[in-house]
Amino acid sequence: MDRREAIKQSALLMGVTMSGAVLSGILNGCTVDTSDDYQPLVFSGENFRLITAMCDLIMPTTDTPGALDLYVDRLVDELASNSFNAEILERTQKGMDELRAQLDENIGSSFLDASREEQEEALRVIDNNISDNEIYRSLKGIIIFGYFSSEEVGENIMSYDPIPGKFVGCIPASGVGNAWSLR
Amino acid sequence: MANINGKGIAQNSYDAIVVGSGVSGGWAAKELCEKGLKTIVLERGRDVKHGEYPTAFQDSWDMENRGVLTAEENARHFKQVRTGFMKKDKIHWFVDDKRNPYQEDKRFDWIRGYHTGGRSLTWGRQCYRWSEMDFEANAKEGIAIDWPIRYKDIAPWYDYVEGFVGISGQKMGLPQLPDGVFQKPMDMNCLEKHVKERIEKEFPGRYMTIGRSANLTEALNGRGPCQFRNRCVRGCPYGAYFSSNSTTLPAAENTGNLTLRPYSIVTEVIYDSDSGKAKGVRIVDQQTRESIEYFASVIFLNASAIGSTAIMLNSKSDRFPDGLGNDSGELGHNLMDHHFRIGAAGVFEGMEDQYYTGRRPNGIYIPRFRNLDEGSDRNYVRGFGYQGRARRMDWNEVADKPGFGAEFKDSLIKPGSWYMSITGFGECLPYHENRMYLHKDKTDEWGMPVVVFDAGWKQNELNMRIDMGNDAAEMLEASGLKDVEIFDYHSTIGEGIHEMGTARMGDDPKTAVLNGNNQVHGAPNVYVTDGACMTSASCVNPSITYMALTARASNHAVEELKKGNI
Repeated sequence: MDRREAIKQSALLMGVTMSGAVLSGILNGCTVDTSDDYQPLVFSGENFRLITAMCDLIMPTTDTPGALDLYVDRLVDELASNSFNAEILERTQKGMDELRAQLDENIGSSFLDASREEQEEALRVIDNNISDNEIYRSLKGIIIFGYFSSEEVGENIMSYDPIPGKFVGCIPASGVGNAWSLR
Repeated sequence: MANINGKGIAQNSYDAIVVGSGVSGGWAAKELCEKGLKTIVLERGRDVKHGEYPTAFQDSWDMENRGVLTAEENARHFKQVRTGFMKKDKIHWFVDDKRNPYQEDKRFDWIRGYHTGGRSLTWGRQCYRWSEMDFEANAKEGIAIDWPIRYKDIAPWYDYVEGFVGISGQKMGLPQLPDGVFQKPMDMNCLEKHVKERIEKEFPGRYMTIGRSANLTEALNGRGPCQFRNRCVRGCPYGAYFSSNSTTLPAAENTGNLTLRPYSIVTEVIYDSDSGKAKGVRIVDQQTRESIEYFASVIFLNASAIGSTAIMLNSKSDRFPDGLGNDSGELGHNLMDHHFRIGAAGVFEGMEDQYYTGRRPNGIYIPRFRNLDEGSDRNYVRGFGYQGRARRMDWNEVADKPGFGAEFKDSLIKPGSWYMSITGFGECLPYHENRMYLHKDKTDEWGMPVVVFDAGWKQNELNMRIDMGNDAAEMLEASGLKDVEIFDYHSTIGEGIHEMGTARMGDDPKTAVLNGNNQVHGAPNVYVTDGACMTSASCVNPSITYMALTARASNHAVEELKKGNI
């Protein structure tokens, strides 16, 4: 159900008056720059290419949208620009330089210019040891967060129920389908 | 300072002053107003009316920066963010640490919000009664001082407040966790039901129940019921959980006796040595910096354990040179919290065809089972309970695990494996050395001395934590969970956000600050009924006990006024 409609219905049902501020809050929000000539805000050209490559390798397009379809690489750049302080940003840039060097070494040539198969193989070495690599773990976490916190995935791919109205502890999973969007 | 002439005194005079509008202040306001007292509530922050909850319906994609705090927001809230749960959706309920500084001789997480309703908007809503065992423990074990009251003194007041708060829960008949006035309990999910059955079969004396939560499962006085959105902490437009804003303050307002003055930072209680009572309070207006005095026959301090104690420490007079009611020297001492963040978690193979619907704002509870008998052999006193929940894992749980690509992505879109996690909440003993005090030189921008903390866990808490981890793991393993791991994220004092004990109750003015009715020893028309009054901490969440003590003390104050005793 459309969220605005669900809110209105629940308010009516329960005799609650919703203030304008509460309802207008769901109109604003976080939109990613989708222009053709995006210039990264904080990452160097090569590090931004690494983020783009990671988005495509970790959350590729299948019968559901991939991270790049939702511009998650740009979102990572924007989140870093807004939320990383100078110290974290510097550590991240440096860590990404090292991560690229490791990936290049795993392939024996430039990771960014390698084939998809080569990239997957090189990434798998890092990914299998994710707990040892803080920068990779952090970037992967932000990419996955960026994907699932998007409106397209949150409302249309996952099972979305803005106002459940009840809690039932045991129901057949088949009736729900994909995992619940919200928790 | 404003010169108050005769007319000014009349204008600023009320029957009662309540300092603070949080969990306990809201109750004091309601009770005093309903009993006919013209009451002014002095709230140090901005006013928030019920319904003014700007993020209540926002999903992450509606929020700027997807709800992630900016670098500047993190810097301004550098202590409040220590909990890890403060994001853009609730940042407006937590103080700006740069404008509201405190100091730490030892680390202390003082997590709070300055606005109408205070932490009643952001609390965890778990409501458990204290038991007779809790009130007797200090005396039996010779620890600190005896409580001046017993369970029978507070039991009717629990009944009274629970009926108005609205608490969903299951009666169990356990002496260590007395039953209360409950609405119908929330449901457990499939794995929780399974684990409950196994624990109760494998470990006689251990029980698991659904949390007792101040979320309405049935409509009550025009509030609720719960819509199972699990966004309580943002403020509930349906009024489906207890907050001062949704529940007690509207009741107080309905009487016509309530005046609520926001931006009113109380700096001290004015003591009158002639009458041996307090005559009012002095505030500084948060915005204009004007100093104003308010007068009343009875004063309730409900500014939080730390806030109320800071006001009393700052209220110096010839009679009380070390702070109001501080003949004992205990004011600011015996600071307690609950220690937690230790427990166990594991995954469950099976039940893949089972799921749940709705987002339950509540978990399960395993009541205390250690040290219930006299002959117990543990190397610590008191005990702990567990809070937890089972769920099907989603991307939140696996983002830091290996895996990528098409199959990985598809697996994140589907419901993941079942898993369950339980966290112990342990009692902390009252130690004289654990304290807060006022800095002798440093003040905040309103001229109030800065609070300094010097407190930490000791051996009894650390010994208890071993059991808190091991017992959690053995119960989950016995329930058939796999890959069970004990976690210990090291609890910092303050992080439980259950500050208690800094103006404790006790019969003897030489060892206690408050008497058995929450009156200040030596200033009987001043009542302190927030966490400051607690003589020990139990292991259960304290808010419902503050509410019951507040209702009881309000009743006492009105009776004493009628008799002309205060």
